[in-house]
Amino acid sequence: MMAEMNEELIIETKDLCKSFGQKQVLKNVSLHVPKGSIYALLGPNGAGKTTTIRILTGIMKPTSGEVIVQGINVVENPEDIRAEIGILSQMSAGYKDIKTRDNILLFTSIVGVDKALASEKMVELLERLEMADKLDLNFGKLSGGEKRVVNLVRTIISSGELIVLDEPTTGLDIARAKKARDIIQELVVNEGKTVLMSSHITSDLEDLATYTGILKEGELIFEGTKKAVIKQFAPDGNFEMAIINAFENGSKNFQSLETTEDLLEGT
Amino acid sequence: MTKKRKQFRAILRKDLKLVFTWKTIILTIVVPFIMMFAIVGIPTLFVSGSNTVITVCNADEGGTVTHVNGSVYFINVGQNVLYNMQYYANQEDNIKIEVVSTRAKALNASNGIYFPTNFTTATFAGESVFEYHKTASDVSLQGYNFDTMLNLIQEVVFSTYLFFRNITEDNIPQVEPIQYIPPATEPSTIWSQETMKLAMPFAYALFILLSLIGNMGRTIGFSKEKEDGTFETMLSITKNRSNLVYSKLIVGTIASTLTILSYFAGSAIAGAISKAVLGQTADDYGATGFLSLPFRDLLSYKGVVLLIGLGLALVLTMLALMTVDTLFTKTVAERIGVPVILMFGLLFMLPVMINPGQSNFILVINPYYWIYHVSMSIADLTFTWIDGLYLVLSLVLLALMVLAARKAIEREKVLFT
Repeated sequence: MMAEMNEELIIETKDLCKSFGQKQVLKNVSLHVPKGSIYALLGPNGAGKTTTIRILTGIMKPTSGEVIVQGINVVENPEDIRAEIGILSQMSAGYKDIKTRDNILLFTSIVGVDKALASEKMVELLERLEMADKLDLNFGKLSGGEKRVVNLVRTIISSGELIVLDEPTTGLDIARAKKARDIIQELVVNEGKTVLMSSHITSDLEDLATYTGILKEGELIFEGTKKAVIKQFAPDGNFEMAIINAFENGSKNFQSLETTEDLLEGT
Repeated sequence: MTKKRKQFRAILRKDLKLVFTWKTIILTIVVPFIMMFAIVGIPTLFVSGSNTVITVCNADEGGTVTHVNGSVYFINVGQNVLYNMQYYANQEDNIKIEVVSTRAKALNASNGIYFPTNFTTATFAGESVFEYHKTASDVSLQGYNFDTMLNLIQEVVFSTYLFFRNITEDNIPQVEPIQYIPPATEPSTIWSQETMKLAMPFAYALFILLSLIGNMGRTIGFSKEKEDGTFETMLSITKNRSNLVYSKLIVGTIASTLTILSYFAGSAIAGAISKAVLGQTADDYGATGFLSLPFRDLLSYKGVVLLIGLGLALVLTMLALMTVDTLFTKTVAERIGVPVILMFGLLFMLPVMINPGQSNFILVINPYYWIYHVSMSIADLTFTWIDGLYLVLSLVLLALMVLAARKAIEREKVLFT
């Protein structure tokens, strides 16, 4: 489908399969993430989103299939992709007993970001997210939402061309979530980065996503633009309705939009 | 390659930062210091010990002896000594004398004394000889009690002799205690008495440190990363995951060294204070080793060798905990890893406390005993083939642990534990 497009792809998977024992979690998933886009990977709980992200980022190996990220064959050389992309996992990670500032700088130094540059960016981003006053507090003292912000900031500073965000705004209040979305948008528009994100918050996706991939029971049942999703799953409704319909009724066979024009509608 | 090396340095910096948080400093440095301060300081005021059982066989047949005034007496010096020993034991709560009928029973006991049939006649011939078998370490309270008894025997023999005879320069009686060494594949005293003084501090220190290391592992090991949710992040950004293991290993070694040093510093400072305040230490009560640690010996060649041995044992333990941490869930690791290590520590410490020179099946399969044996032999400069074997086994185990930890962290399952 999207492989037919003339856009340069930063992530491309072909027939990606993953099994845990007898349980097949991913079934022939072929993803296409264009460079410079915000790609929303959606799916109900247990659809295989986190597993897909873990495979794309070299944390986990697929059972079969091909994965090319930033031109690197991730299956053959997973270590080459590690530390090249910024990854925000679902869990708000951080060392409770050390300062927020150190939590960010320790991770960014492991990825190889210059300390002065990382400090400057850290202060700038946390000021925008109204958390600069928390820099000298121990990470363990922060609230759940604040921890999420710290993780997001750390991921953004650590990222290269590609940023992978798993539930980036979960736990954030409305105002902070809006600011976080603005920052993510700017990364793509101003810095030319690519964002692959998964989220359950439709406002995130409606505001940000340029492309959407929908996973259901380990299968990629749809891949296309936001408008194409609506056209496919809720022609008379909105984006949220389309996503709900896709989750409830969507299947690989349901897919009817085959042409590049349909898929790219609304870009 | 350069990037990987640079990344390793950054990971190491991160792990070092985790060690020097207040919580970790308290667990690795302050707790061992206070623990030893209390252990050494308090016993100075309340010294006590477990029972010392001394098995005695008196086969002395006695004999007639002419007093300096010309009177002739029948006397049994062995019996006289035994009465004095029993009288002394009755005054002490923790010494018990058991009388047996044969030499074999006396000398096969852990701490036994045998007076031969000619003990009286030999005494008045000026060449008194008796045999003893001692397994209690010189540095234990039992060993101290036994030595007191040996001194008592000599005192009684002298006073008996003096009662009958005048001592002249040419007529000084000799009392020769002969140590009985039972036939065995490995002698009961492998090392010199000087080296044996360090055996109990080693065993005791190791056990205390093992009981602390569980907490240390939870603070700086992979369990901590899992608890803080940083484990997946670290796996996703580390090019060579083995670096995660090596970094933790280096930091664990540094933390272990600090723990050992603070442990000994605690005991040394407490010893010095108690000496200054009370004028005597646990050492003065003969309770050296078990309750206090000979600080002066630690700065010697032997002391340094034993400290290195302790360090090696702790590194091995850290590695074992790390492997368990990566292979199993945090809960399982805490429920299995730490108790198993403590069990090995206990199975090493108890037999060594009873007899530092012994060897049995339970000990020879215990890696802590291998390290202890090698360290003691190197300290004693009596390195034998068995030490070579133990050294090889320790190094192979260390290498296997590093491999296991490296393999474990590469496993996909690590994400779900």
